[in-house]
Amino acid sequence: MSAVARLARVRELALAGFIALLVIVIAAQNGDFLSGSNLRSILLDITLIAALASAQLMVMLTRNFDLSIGSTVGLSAVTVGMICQQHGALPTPLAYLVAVAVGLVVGLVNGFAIARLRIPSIIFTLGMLSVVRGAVYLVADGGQVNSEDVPAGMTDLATGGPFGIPPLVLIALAVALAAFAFLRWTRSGRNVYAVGSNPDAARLHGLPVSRTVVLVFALSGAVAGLAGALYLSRFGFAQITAGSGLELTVIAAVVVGGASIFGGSGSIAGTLLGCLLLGVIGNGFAVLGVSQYWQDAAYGALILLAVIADARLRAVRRPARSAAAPKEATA
Amino acid sequence: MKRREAPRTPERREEEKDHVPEIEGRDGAAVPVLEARAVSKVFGGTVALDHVDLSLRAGEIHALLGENGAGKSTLTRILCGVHRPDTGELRVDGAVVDFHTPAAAQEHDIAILHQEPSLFGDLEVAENVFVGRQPKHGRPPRIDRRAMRAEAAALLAELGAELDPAARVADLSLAEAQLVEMAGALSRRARVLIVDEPTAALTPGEVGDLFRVLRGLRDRGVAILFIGHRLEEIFALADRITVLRDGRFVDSRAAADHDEASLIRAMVGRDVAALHVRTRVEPGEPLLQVRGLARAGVFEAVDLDLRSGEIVGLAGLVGAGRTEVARAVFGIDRRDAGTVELAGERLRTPQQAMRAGLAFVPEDRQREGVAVELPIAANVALPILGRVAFHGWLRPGRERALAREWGERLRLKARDVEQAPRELSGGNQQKVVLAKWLATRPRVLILDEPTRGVDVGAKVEIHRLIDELAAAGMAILLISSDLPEVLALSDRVLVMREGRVTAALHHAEATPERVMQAATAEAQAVAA
Ligand SMILES: Nc1ncnc2c1ncn2[C@@H]1O[C@H](COP(=O)(O)OP(=O)(O)OP(=O)(O)O)[C@@H](O)[C@H]1O
Ligand SMILES: [Mg+2]
Repeated sequence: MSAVARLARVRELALAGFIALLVIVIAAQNGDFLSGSNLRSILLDITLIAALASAQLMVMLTRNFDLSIGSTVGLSAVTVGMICQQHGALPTPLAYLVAVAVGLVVGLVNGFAIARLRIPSIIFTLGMLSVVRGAVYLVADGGQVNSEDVPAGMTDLATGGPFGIPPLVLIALAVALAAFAFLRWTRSGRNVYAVGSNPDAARLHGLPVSRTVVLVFALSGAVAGLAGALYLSRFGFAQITAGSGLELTVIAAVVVGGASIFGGSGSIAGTLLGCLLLGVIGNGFAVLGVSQYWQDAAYGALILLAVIADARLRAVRRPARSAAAPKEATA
Repeated sequence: MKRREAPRTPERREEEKDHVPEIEGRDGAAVPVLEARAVSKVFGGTVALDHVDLSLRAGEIHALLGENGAGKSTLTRILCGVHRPDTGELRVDGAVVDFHTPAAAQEHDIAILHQEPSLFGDLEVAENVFVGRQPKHGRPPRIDRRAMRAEAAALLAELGAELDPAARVADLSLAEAQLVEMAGALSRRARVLIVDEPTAALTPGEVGDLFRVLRGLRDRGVAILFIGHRLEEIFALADRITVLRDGRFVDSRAAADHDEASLIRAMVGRDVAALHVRTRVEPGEPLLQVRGLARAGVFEAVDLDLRSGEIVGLAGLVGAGRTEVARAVFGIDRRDAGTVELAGERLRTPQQAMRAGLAFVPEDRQREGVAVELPIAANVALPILGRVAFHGWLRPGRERALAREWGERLRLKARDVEQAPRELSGGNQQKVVLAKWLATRPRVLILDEPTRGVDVGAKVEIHRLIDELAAAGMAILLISSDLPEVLALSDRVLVMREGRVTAALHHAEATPERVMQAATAEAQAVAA
C-alpha cells in the first residue's frame, strides 16, 4: 500500500476515532445519549443524508456537484403524497417506485444538460434547485401533504424492524452498499474515478466520459427521489419546503468524509462516517441543549477542517513531479 | 548508454520476416495493417498535415521523424481516433475505416502511448494500466483486483520496472509514470502499437528494456510506429523510416538506406552539424555556492560551485536526485541541511533566488513551466513583468517583441506570438518555457533536460545558445541525461548516483566510460 493510501486509511480511522471520542464526551454529560431510543433517532436522522451522500459522492468524484437534490426530495415527497391524497393510498412499493421515477427524470435532465451541453454542473443544478422547487409549488397547488394522506404502510417503515433498526435505515444502508459495490467492483464505477481524476486522459483512453456523467446524475436524481419517499416514511407529512437545504448538509457530509472537491478521490466508508459525525453532532448538541447556531458553526468548522486536510494531503505528495494532469476546479 | 547492435543485414531481415504471419494482397505483397492515404488536418489557420501517406506493416518497427511541429503527433492522433482527418482515408487490412472515437480505433486493435502524459493520478498503478478493461471474476462478475495487480506487475517487470502496482500514480516520478503508460499500451496486446516519444524520461537501462520489448512485439508480428528525436535510437530500432516536414510527407525508406546526415537533411531540409563545439572561456568570479545541501532520503552532502562563464554538467541516471537538488537549490523544495549563496547572498526562497538572478528551467515543462492558455507572448514576459511593464502598465508591444526575438533564436514554430501554447506541438511548448527563462537574463541558469523532446535542428541551436550565454558570463548548471550533450558542453561534470555526488571530473578527464561508471557502479564519494 502506498504512503498516501495509508494516510487515507488513517484518515478514515481518525474520523472514526473522533466520532467515538465525541460520543464518549457527550455521553459523559448526559447518559440518555446512549439510550436505545436516542441511538435509533440518530440513525433515523442520518438515513436521508446517508442515502443522498452516497449518490452525491459519485457526482463529486466526477468533479461535479448536484445542488438540486434537496428540491428533488421535496418534489418526490409531495408528488407521492398528493397522488395518495387524490387517488387514495398507493401500495408502499408502488409509492417508492413513483418517487424514484420522479427523481430519475430530474437526474436525467441534469445529466444530459451537463454532459452534452457542457454547462457547468454547479450552475445548472443551482438553476434546477429553483426550477424543481417551483414544480413542487405547482404539484402542491397551494396545499400540502398531511399525515392522513400518507399510507400507513409507508410510515410503518420508520418503526420496528430487526434489532430495533427500522427498515428505513436498512433501505439507506442498501443504497450505500450498492454504491460501494458499484464504485469498487464495476468498470463503470472505476470510470467514475477516472473521469474525475483526469477528464482529458479519460477521453484519450476512449472511456465513455459523457455517459459516465449522465449516469452519476441519473443515480443522484433517482436516489433523491427515493429519499423523498424516505422523507414521507420518516416524517409522515410533507410541506412544500420539504428537503430544502439538504444539499448543503449532504455535500458537507461528503467533504467531511474525505472526498476531494476536485474529483477523483473519496470513499463510501468515509462518506458514511461523515454522515455519522454530522448526525452525532446534531443530536448531541440537541441532547446537551446547545443552540442550533452552534451546530451550524460546528458543521462549518468541520467542512473547513476537511478541506484544509485535503489540501495538506495533496501538498505532502510531490505534486510538481506527479505525472497526472494538473487538477483544476472545473465545476 | 545506447545499445549498439550488429547492423541487421537485408538477409537477416528476410529471415525474420519469414516468421511473421502476413496477409497476402492481390499483388502478392503484404497488405498494410494500418494505412493513412492523403490525410490532411487543419487547425484554425495552421495546416498540421497536408496529404500525408503512411503505411504500417505487420512485423515492422516504423519510425516517424520530423522537426517539432512537423505533424507527427497529429498523425498519431488521427490514427487512434482522437482527431478525424479533414481529407483522406484510413484503412485497416486494406478496408476503409472511420474512427470517430478512440474507442473505435481500440476495437481495431490499435493501441497508443500519447506524447502528453494521460494518466489518472488518483488511481493506483494497476488501474491505470487496465483502465476501462479491468479483469473480472466471480458471479456476478466483479473487478478482480488481485489479478489486475499481478498482471500489471508482470507487464512492468517485462519493461524492467519495479513498481508497486498498488501505488498511487500521483506519487510517481515522470519516468515511472511513463513506464506505467507504456505498460498500459502493451497490455492491450494490440496489432498496431503507436508510441509517441516514449523514451524522453527514461534511463538508458529502461530504454534498453523498452527496445527489447518492442523488438519482441515486432517479431510476434505487431506493427509498431515509433516517434523520437534521438537518431541513435532510431537507427538502433527502426526497420523503416518515414519523414515529415512542415506537415508534408518527405519520404519513406528502409532504415538501412539512411545515414544520420541524410536523415537530418530529409527532416530539416538542409545540413546541420550534429553536435555543437563549445568555445571555452576562462571562468570568472564565483557566483553560486552550495554547501552540504541535503534532504533526508533524497540526497545528501551536495557541494556545488559555479563561476561566471562556466558550464557545469550534472550527469547521472534518471532518479539519481539531480532534479531534486536543482529544486532545492532554487528553493522550491524543503532543505534539511546546507546553504545556497549567490555572490555571497544567502538564498532561501524562489523569490529571493529570482531576485538575485537565478533562473530554473524545470524538467517537466508541460506541467511546471507553461501556462497553456495564455498567449506565448504573455508566457515569455511572465517572469519579467516588472521590466516589461511601464509603471505597472503592461505593454503588449514590448511583450510581443520580446517573445518574437526569443522565438526566433529558438526556432519556435508557431503561427504568431499570440497563439496559446496548448495548440503547439510538444517540442515547441518546451521552447516557450526556455524562452521565458532566458528572457530574464539571469546570472545563474539551471537547465533541467533542456533538449528533451526537442528536434535535432533546434537542439544544436539550443547548444549554441547555451554556449553563447556562458561566453557572455552566465553560469550554467546543465542537468541532462544526454551524455554526449553533457560532455560536449560542460567545463566540469558532476555525476550523481542515488542522491550522492560520486564523481567530479574536469572536461578533459570526463569520458563517457568514467561518467557512466560513476553513475552506475559502486564508487567512492568524492568531494566536489
Ligand atoms: N489542437 C491544436 N490546435 C491548433 N494547432 C494545433 C493543434 N494541435 C497541433 N497543432 C499544430 O499542428 C502542428 C503539428 O503539431 P504536432 O503536435 O503534430 O507536431 P509534432 O510533429 O508532434 O512535434 P513535436 O516533435 O514537437 O512533438 C503544429 O504547428 C501545432 O502548432
Ligand atoms: Mg509531438
